[in-house]
Amino acid sequence: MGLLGRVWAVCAFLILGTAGAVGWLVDRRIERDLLDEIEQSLRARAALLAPLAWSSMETPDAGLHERLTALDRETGTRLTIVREDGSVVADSREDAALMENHRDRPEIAQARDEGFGISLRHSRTVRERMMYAALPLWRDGALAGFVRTALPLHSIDARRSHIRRAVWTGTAFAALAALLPAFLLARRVTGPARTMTRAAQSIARGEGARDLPLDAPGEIGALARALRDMDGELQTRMRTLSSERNQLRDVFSGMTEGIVAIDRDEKVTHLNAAAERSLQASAAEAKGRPLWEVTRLREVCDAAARALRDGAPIAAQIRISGPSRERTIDLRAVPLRGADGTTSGAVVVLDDVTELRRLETVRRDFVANVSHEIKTPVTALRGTVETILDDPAMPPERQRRFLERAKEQALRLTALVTDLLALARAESATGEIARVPLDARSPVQETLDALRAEAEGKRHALTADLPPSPLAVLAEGEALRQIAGNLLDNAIKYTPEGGSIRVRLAADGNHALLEVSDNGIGIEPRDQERIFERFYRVDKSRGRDTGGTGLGLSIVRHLALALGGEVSVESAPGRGSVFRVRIPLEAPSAPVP
Amino acid sequence: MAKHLQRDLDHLKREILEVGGKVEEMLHGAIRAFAHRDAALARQVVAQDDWIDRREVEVEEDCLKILALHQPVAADLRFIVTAMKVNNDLERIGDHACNLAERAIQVAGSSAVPVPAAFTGLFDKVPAMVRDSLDALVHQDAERAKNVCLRDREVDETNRIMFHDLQDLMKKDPASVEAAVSTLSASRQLERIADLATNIAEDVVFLVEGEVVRHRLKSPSTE
Repeated sequence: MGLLGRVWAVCAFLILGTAGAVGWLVDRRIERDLLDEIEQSLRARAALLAPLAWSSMETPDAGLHERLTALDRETGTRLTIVREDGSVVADSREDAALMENHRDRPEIAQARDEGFGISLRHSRTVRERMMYAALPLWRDGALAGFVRTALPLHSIDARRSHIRRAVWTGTAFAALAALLPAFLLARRVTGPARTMTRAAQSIARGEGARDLPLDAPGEIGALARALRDMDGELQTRMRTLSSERNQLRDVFSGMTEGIVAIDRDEKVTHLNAAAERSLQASAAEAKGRPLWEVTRLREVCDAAARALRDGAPIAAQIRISGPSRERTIDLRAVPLRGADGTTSGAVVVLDDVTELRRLETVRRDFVANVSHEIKTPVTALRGTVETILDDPAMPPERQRRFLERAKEQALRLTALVTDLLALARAESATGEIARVPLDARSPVQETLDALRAEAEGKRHALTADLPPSPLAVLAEGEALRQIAGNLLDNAIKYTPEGGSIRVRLAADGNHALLEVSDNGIGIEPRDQERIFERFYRVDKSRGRDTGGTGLGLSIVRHLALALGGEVSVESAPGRGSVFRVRIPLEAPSAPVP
Repeated sequence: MAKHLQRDLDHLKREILEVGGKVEEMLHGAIRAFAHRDAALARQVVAQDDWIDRREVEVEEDCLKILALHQPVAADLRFIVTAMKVNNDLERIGDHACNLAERAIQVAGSSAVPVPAAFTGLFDKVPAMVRDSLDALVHQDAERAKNVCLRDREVDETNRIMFHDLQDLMKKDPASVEAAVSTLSASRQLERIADLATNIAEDVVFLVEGEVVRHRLKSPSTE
């Protein structure tokens, strides 16, 4: 039952209770008054009858009964004359001779003791509720008998019920009339509570406080204002919370590390974009599922489970396999503590270090390679020089041979250092190289001229296919010379004697295409992607014999990238190789004639 | 009782997925070993097969134990039946991955034969089918499973093309026979793995829909 119902019920209870009490009291009062009236009337009648009784007491005659009966008929009052000993002298409704002794009747006994007796009871003789009144008769100071009058109560019962009905009807009407205002009052009292309830519900739904009775007097108004303040405060906090949550989410999704948060049942609660990629899972599907369903990477699940169980952070390096490559991931699993100090979940951070590890390896290899490449000519140089120094008596022509050899090693060292410098320059120059418009034909032609003798030395057929008109590219002359030189040098070196080498320069869309093809030994597919790495040699023993530093193609690639171009290779073992370098044209959007 | 059953089923699911993850790893390793002619990696893959075989037996025992102990009905029963079949399929995928790795060891020394691009496409397609079939099992996703079944046709077709192409090559260039046979065998292994992934996907459809779809989702061209 609502507040309205309860208030109204209390009101109704009070109204009905009051009405009932009033009705009952009035009813009682009226009954009392009626009985008093009858009593007075009976007493008066008894007093009036006293003289008659007096006279007839001594000498009862046969007419007495008739006279009493006549009086009875006119007044409706039963009249009885009783002697002092209780025997009945005459009665208006019964034969006195047949009546029993009346000495013990309550009204008679009372009259004897108190001078007037009254009694309300059921008459055995007339079988009706009657009120009896008795007066004593005195003769010469001695009690001579009693006069008794009696009235049946059925008449007053009828009157009483009549009055009672009127009283109760009135009371009922009054009560009903009071119930309606009581209901309205109850509604008025509880109305603000209902309004406030609706407002609170609307706050709870996040729709804000509405229709608050702010101006209501007293406690209701105060409550309404408190509710309004609370709503304002609540909205401020909600905004703060949601903006913080959005910030966190943005930070989360923007992180390059994959992050997976799980609860204490290993169910995923958060999964950011990087983790989606690392684990090949979808965040939408993963939420609420156990981690071991989200990813089948045992190391990840095990680390998370162990962090949960032991409550201690875990760091490990794991590998995520894939059909094309394997990635190395630094994994950290950190348990989360709840407010009560127990482990409430864990966060797994996945840091993809594949590229980092690869670069580390490349750097380590580079240092080792450089040391090795430098050490070889230096050792040879030292050996030859020491031999000359140790033997002062060496014949001049022999000494000359050793010196020639020393010079050879020094030249090789120079070539290596030059290449290293060129590589360092190309690597660091990305975007910094001064690119100017120039005709791509001239550096290529210069390179061809410079290396033609060497090609002819190995009896290669060197053909050049240069465009008849200038080909304007945006590049640096020296860089182009180095690219063409390194490619042509390689082609000459790695093609068996008497091969054919072709250098082609042409416009290809927005790019100038420099193509160096040979019919040499070719490159195995598995080596093709690695030949551009520094010091990578397809055949470890052969490279150095031919005088290569192992840096040529690496320089080509870096220079091509620095000029905003690219380099690619197409090769089949035993059939030859084609290296293609694309360099942007000066005006890429100009239509090619 | 129901709680114990649920716990055991969760454990079983976890085991299946663990084996699945390992098998996927083996398959990836075998493919990488074949693509890069990496004999060392191939030997690592072959060494993992014992673990898979041992786990298969353990998982099967767990399945039987649950059946005997809890006498599950309806969905739970279907799950266990599915688990047993998937377990078996996974073990066989592991075997085929080993075979593929052995082919990788064979070809590691020899030079490559020219292969159609569709064959290298299998390197991604087949592991993706295995992954999706296991994902479908995890998510009890019949649609994803049906999708896997439909992709089987492409793999079969590629395998057929491979057969013809390599046959022609061997006729033309007898020196390449050894490498060509190994490559053909690798293609066949991948095709079988795709079939087994399809089996798993069909089992998932059975698990979700309670209907045996085997031999029904196949396209008309393969029937």
